[in-house]
Amino acid sequence: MPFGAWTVEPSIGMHYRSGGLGTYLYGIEAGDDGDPFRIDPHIVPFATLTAGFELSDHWTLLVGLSGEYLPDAVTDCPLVDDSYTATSVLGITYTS
Amino acid sequence: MSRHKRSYSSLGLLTVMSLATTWPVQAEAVWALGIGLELASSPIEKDDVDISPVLIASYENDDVLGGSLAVGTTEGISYGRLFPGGLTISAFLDYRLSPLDDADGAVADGIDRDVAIEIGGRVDYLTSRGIFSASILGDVSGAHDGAEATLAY
Repeated sequence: MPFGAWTVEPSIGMHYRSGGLGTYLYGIEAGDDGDPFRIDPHIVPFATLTAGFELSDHWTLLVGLSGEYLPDAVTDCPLVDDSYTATSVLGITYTS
Repeated sequence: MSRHKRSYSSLGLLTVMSLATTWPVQAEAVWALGIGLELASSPIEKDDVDISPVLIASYENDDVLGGSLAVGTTEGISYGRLFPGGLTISAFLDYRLSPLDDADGAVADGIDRDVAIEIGGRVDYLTSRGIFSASILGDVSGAHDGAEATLAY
């Protein structure tokens, strides 16, 4: 959605992740050091906000924010200290 | 160090950002190059925030065998076709890295993860209220043999 020279794209959604993917990301597999901890299938809500500011016909300033909420199935793993992930990006691009 | 942090952003924020580099949507081939800085928190190491550089490079061509081909450093490879009524169906190939792969500190010592190569399909439905999308992907590299389904608006 445009706001002057800005284009803003909010998004919300959810991931359903299988146990295999969850364990790959945050669990302890059989070949790892420590007692195995397999993460059950789970749902991860997420939200993103991306904004682009047209500096000129070719140059764009980009700002992005993203966050995920990790459910108990993930945070119960002893490796996991927090129940969310957050990422922000600031960038500039040249487009042909 | 920063590599693993993109495990949970490569399919999310950076994907959106990379696609955003083609704003406004243009006909036929468009390429984009850029740089950025990423700040990412890890659920593995509380209070740890990484700052790392990001290279953004993408190419999109809306006229490849009747569909749209997109290749980029942050969104992998995708090919989609637009159908009447605002429906787009696409297939994609991307990679994912676990945040456990090279986490700092002793918490993840003795844990190693391979890069996962994933393929999937996606349906986007453009309405006057926004874009509804659904996708499903699975690992084809044997890194986790898992799957993920996503609904987004």
